[in-house]
Amino acid sequence: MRKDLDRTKPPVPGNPKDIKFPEHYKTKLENGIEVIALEDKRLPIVTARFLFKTGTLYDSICNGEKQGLISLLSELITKGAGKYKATDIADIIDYYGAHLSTFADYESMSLNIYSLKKYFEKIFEITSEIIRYPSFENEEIERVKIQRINSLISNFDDGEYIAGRLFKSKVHGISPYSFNVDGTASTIDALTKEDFISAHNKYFIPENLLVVIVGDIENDEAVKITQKYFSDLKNGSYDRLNLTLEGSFNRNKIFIAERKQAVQSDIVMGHSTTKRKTPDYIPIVVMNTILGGFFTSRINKNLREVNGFTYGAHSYFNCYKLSGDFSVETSVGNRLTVPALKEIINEIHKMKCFPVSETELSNAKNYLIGNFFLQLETSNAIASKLIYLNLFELEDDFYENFVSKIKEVTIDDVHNVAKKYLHPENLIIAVAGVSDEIKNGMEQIGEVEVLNYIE
Amino acid sequence: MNRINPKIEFKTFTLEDGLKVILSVNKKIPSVSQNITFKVGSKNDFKGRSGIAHLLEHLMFEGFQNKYELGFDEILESYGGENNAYTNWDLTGYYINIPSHCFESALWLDSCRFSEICFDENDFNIQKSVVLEENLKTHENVSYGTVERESSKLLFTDNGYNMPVIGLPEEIKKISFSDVKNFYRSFYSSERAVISIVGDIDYSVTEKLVRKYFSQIPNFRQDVRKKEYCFFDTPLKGEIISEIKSEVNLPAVFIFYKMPAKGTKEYSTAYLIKKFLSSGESSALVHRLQYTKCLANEIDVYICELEFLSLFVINVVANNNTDLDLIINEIDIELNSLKNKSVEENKLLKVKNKIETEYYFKLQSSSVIAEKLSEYSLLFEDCNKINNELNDFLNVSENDILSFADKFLNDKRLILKYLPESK
Repeated sequence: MRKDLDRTKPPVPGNPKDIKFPEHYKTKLENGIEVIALEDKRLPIVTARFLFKTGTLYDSICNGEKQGLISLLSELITKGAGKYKATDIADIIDYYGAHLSTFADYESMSLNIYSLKKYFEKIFEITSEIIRYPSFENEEIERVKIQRINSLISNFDDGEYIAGRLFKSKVHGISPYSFNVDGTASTIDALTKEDFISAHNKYFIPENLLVVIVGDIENDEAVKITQKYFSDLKNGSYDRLNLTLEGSFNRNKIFIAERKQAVQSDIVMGHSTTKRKTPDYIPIVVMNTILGGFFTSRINKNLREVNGFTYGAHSYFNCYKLSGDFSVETSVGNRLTVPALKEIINEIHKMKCFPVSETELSNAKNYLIGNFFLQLETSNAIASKLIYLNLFELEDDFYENFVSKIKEVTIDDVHNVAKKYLHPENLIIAVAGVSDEIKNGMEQIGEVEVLNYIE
Repeated sequence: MNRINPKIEFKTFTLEDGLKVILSVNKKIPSVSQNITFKVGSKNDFKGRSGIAHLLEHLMFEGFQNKYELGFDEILESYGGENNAYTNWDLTGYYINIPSHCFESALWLDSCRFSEICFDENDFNIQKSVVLEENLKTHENVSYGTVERESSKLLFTDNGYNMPVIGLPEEIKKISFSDVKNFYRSFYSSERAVISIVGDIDYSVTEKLVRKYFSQIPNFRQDVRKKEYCFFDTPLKGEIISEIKSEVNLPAVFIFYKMPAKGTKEYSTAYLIKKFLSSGESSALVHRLQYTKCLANEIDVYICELEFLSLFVINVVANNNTDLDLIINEIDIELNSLKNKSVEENKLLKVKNKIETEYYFKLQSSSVIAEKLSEYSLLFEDCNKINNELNDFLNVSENDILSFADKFLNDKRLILKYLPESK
């Protein structure tokens, strides 16, 4: 065995390569549809996303009575369109080995397809039928309702889901961000064919649609194919939601969703925060990374690596179009619930009161920069980034400048956003767990309310 | 139909101490995926100490700060890298994705932890608590989370596959510090390992670096390194039905069949059948159970791949108040039709088209390629399988399906039923 290798010091990294966010082409069709195309010929595959900028927030137009409408619409829409029955659509998509899925959240709903290049137009054509001429047959409506209600029953088996829902409902109060995207058993049950038809007429309009096409297809082909199949998409308009969101607690409050069989407490805690569009966003990202955003963050290190309380703990700034929330999420054994809550609150306090160290700052920044490039590997990941940019109306060069913006963040910037955006005295703490075993000592943290929580 | 099969080019060599090395250039983004996999898994757990292989995987990330000032994850994350690891019954794999200008650090990091034990007794105690919490999180506190434990004890009686990978909590608690050190010394030898490096690399530079960091790993685990796992298994004699009362809202059934291991013709056939049954809304079980009859909430067919055999598993979560026997009956109708008449040609083509698309999508990721290369090298001593596997699937015929269904999807099976406690 040779003895000449000294392992005590890590090798010095070389110079980072200069990489740019992939160049893409952007245009607007005459009827108002936005198209973004990104050519990538490495593999014979194409991905397309059809994004309508209306999400489940619009379920709120009837005081929440329609919770789940947009989400169920996105599911129903593939179940028959124009000349195709539900089974035809399924057969065709599967026959060509393609993939079609739909997705809805607060701000948007989307249809996503991918296929081999050679079948792309066929899949694109059928998707355009789905978007323009959905059938909404009664039989299909009944079927998706039954399936959705069963999924909800199943979701309420899951402590993590329950804690997450409880947190959102409390932290967002009466705003539609408190709603369940999936709906509730009773709101789903009450939805009618007319609800779907009117939502489709209102929201599936050209000015609301963004088409992103990434893969083995030339830019002008991507534009042409969109023109070919969507030039007759019916026009319309609707009132945009405008919310002023305020109101928060001025002390910590703990809600326990009773789960008698629980052997662990699922915890989601935090408070409301800024919407996505703020000049503070980049410093917030850096601050949150240090607090709970990556594996070696303070919260994960404390709870997992020092105390062995949990398999993992993370914090998030979920910043939406009109509002946002800050949350810390973890799961810990019953008897560890109070100690874990105290450690988390303590970490939030520390972040707010003291500046971070130079090493912490540079580690977090390097992590964010390096990781940004790792995320540009697949066509799906790139498409997601392009959509994010457009949906939140960010500057076109946001990703081009991402690295330099991160580099500029200072210790003071981090401390300033911590002071401004962390409120360890005003936390909503949602716990799914067994109250008798975890409650003891909790009143030192805040007022405790035990609920039988089901939506 | 014309099919194109882009070839993954790679270069392999073996170091003096037995470590196999696979390099593959992929300049798509300036990053590198490094995968080190050891041919050891939970089937090698010491008797009465189930979970030891998995606990050791956790410990491989610990103790760096004692020797190198900063922890493993701290060093890696400060370069913008990410990492994770997995343990299954047969293999333990560690991967790192890192920007290519820091790539040498990944070699350094892995060579440190695989040349000597870094963790101490305090790290050991903490990770033991973390693993016990992981067990609660992923097995005890979630619906149907005990399926691995409940099935493995009924499927296997006399070999290392009769325990869940994570181990039994009462046995995890009994694992001692010296147990894990013994396990490391017994199994983490370079002869049982392969390192695959895929991404923005240069062959000759990378080969030199690998030799620099890995030529000096002591192969002191000589005492056991030649001992191969001796596998024997008692086939199922008939249908076993086991009912579990559980705090779940929806009933669920898991059906297990034993079948040949990955790498065989039968495995490729089973993979097609799995897709035929459950991939896409028009697939046989999804169409029948979810669409036509509205009996099922979720349908999943998967193959649990083990070194010496595989398990073909059908899992259905039923809708509220649905009788599981009704579901099993419907499943059997589909399985019987596979045995009685050939699958229609266009349905077979459909499944093959699906497999082809998925194949290309997976090849977008360097870490997937690295993991596959490692696995094929360790289990089949044939990395080129990565270029042949698509053809293996496309060559499956109607007759292969007929005879597979007849031979393996029969009444020699285990049926696990999860029934809601209150109902």
